[in-house]
Amino acid sequence: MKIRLARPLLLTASLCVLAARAEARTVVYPIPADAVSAGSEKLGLTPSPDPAKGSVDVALELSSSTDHEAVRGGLVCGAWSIQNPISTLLRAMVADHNPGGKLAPASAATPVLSIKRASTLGRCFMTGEMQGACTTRVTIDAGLRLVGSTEEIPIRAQVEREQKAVGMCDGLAVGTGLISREATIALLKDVDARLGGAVPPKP
Amino acid sequence: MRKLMLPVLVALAAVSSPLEARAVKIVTPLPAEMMGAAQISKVDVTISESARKTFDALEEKAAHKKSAAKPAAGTPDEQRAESYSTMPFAEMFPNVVHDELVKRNLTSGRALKLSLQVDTLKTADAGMALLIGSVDELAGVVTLSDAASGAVLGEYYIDVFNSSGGPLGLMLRGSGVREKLAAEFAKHVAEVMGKKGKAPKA
Repeated sequence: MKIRLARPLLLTASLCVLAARAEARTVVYPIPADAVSAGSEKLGLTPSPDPAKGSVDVALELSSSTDHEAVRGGLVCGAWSIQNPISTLLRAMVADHNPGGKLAPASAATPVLSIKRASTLGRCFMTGEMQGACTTRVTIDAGLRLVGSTEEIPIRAQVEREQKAVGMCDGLAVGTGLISREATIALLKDVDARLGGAVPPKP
Repeated sequence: MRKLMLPVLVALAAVSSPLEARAVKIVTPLPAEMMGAAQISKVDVTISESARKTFDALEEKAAHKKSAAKPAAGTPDEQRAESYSTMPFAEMFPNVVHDELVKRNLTSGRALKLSLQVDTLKTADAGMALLIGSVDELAGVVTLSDAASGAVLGEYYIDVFNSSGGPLGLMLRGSGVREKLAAEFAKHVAEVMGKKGKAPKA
């Protein structure tokens, strides 16, 4: 058998064997700024800048379907279990986004961002000889209640990114965290748009 | 490198059990009230770059079959099955899904759009099939959304395999690999939409 054929076989087998021995991993939040840039560089991701401050304080409601285990499709790294406690990230980022710098208590005078559920879907593929890539899609389904209204405006933030398969399946938890951060930024941008815009950053 | 081949083959054989892994993984389940009470009115298919090479090769094969097709013969079912083998995937797959939903009487209720993002499409490698077995595989993300509003209602990862082990496996595999995978995939699509019972006899 030619070496050309053996190489991808070797990598696939290694990934599968490692995946079979995989232990559950938990994404670590919050992600410090230096970890965002270091992790993104390692995994070939382009991080978005931190979102601008919002114009009003927002209260956050979380459901029991917010924190979740990532669903993994495909054979490569298929047994790699990743817990995504995204509520920790949401709390931190919504607090940072609020002009007051902390989470607002839910009241009739405050808009409420209600998280209905969040999910993560990850798949890894062979893209060539000794080369792999993983795709992660993070989805956050939420509703926004405006002041003076009981109706909820549905909001869905979904971000999918491809990351390098670094250290076999080892970079998946870090990648999931970084892509969850991107989904949260997308969610906050949508909230800003519905609440009348974010405060422009100071020059 | 040759020395490495034995452990590699052993490792591949050792991990063959994941091939029997669940075919459907639920990312977001359809709301309970929609189970057995929805139909597919539109199907969209997109192909990811990772599946493009095999996809294009199978499309070419289907186009070749179409150009070489003889006048239709056999029962209407056989004729329809034969026509599927000559269609591009994006045309064949909605037909296969439709057939499966008709079989299960899932033809009324809330209209849904099915979006399939194929991320794996591979055919068994004959050499590997003779050695340790190989698989045909179709996998992708299925998103079910409201056909009118576009609101996403359910999301699944569906992965189907058709394994071919040894010369006998290869012989039994036969032709129409793409259509067989699509039919198996469609069964899982119908399953996630819930039960409505058998279609009334014509």
